Amino acid sequence: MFSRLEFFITETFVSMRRHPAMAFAATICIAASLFVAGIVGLIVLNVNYATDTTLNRVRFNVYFQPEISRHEAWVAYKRILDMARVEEAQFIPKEKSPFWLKYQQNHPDTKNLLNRNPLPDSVVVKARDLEDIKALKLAMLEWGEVRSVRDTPDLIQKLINVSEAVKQSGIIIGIILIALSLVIIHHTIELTLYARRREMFIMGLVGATPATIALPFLLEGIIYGLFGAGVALGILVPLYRFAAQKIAANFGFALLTKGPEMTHGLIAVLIAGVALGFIGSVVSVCKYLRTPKSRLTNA
Amino acid sequence: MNACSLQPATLQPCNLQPHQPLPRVGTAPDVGIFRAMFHLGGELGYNRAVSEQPVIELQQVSVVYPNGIQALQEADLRVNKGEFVFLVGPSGEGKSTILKLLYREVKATTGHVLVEGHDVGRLAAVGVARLRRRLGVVFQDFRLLDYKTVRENLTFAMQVLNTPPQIIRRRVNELLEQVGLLDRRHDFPQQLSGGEQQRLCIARALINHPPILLADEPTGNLDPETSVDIFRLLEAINLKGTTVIVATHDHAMVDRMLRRVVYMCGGRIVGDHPAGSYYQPDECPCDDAAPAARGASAEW
Repeated sequence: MFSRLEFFITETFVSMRRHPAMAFAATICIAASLFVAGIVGLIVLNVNYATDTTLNRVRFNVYFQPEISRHEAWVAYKRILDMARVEEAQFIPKEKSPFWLKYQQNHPDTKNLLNRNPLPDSVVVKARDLEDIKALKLAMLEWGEVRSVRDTPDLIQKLINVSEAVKQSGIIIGIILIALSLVIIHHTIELTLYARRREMFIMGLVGATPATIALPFLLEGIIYGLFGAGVALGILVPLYRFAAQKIAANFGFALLTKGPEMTHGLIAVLIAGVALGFIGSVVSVCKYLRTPKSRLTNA
Repeated sequence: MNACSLQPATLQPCNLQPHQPLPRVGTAPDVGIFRAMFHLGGELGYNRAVSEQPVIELQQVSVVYPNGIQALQEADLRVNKGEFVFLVGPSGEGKSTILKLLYREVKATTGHVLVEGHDVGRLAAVGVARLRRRLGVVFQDFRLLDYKTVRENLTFAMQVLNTPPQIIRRRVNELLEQVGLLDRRHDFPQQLSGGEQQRLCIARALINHPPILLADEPTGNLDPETSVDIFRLLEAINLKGTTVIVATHDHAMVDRMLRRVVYMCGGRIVGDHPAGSYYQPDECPCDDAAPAARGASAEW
């Protein structure tokens, strides 16, 4: 078992060493594909990040009737908190209302004139999902304690639309890129194998089974994929960090540089490289392992 | 290279002259003469007891290539275990096609090809691989793995059989020494002369001790002295029990070895001369006709 494994690994590396041009072409092809895919992935990731961050800040205000007591307002607040679609809620007594505080700060001279605060108690609510806001608003407006609910519906809807568009276009672009990459990689590996089809044929003539012939080529594909992914990441990561620094310095906008999304992205690029190399090899090897029909005459 | 460098360790130094004149008669020469020629150490090749067990059978086999060329027509052939058979005839008359049928590079259009009882035409891919492991094949165009060194070409043929590395090392060195390529073991096939490539090809065919050896023009690229050595090597292998089939144009060598000769013409087997007799190529019935198979060259 070990000697078999050793045989396949040795075959793979000897073959790579003795076909440097092919190894280079296949690696660069995979690297280029993954580099472009990586850029698109980073754009999608950052737009999503920016949209999510903005949307995460979205709250709406629930204003109670001015006539109700503090106790009644508090009970209503507890009801809001108990709602399944509400993630968090904060009770704002009318004397702590930011509008009132700001008004007092800006008009110290009228403080005595308007010492009676006309604002009602309110609650700042964050829904679990942005799409729940509308339903929550409608439900709360039916309560007698609630006078009005205020938010910025246009902005929220726009952000939701942008987020969906980016996600969907990201998926479509990703699928197109993967398909294109597969075609390019398949052709590159097929070309490298075309040059080596004689070798494969001779291996078969000396008694090698299709699996024995194919395995080193498949391993080669996987290694090209890993190398390609490594090259792509080696260029992409420093370039992205540099761009993130420049954007942060010039536009004050922080790109996503850390977190599980980035780690998953790096792992995804490596896996994509391996998968592209492997699939490209499988398709090409299977094609050339079949005995050429022109050589066989059938009864 | 020394003309005798190919001889197996069991053989005495060669003193055969490549074009030594031989009487063209229909009977076997005196045993003493033959022994003196090949120094085979007592056993006369063509008189060896050959098993009646057929290892190769062609039953009404015809081959038509996709371009319409009929390479073989209703060929019937039976080769017993341990036999040494020459396939002779002009170029493009189906000699190479018979060998290719045996290792399944081509498939019969009609008829059956049996090797060790297995119908070659019905084998799946893994079955074909197993069949080829039982055959040693010396190809006319060598078919060496260009990106592998001399040593690796031999090693690979053993590795596909999952042979332990120690045995591979020993056997490869032994065979490289026998064929005089031990010093060239790190070279690539392109760095070798035609004769050296031929010897490497023969060494690869022999490396796994195959029970059947097929050789397609094994001396086509060799000088007369080396050709003699190659045939002596094939003779010695046959004496150990290996069935040997050689397609050749080397009539002088065929005459000298006095083995079974199958004469092919026009894609048909037109003569089958038992071991110990001389075949008469002049008797070919196809000489006046334009054989359909002419042009079905070995490049296929």
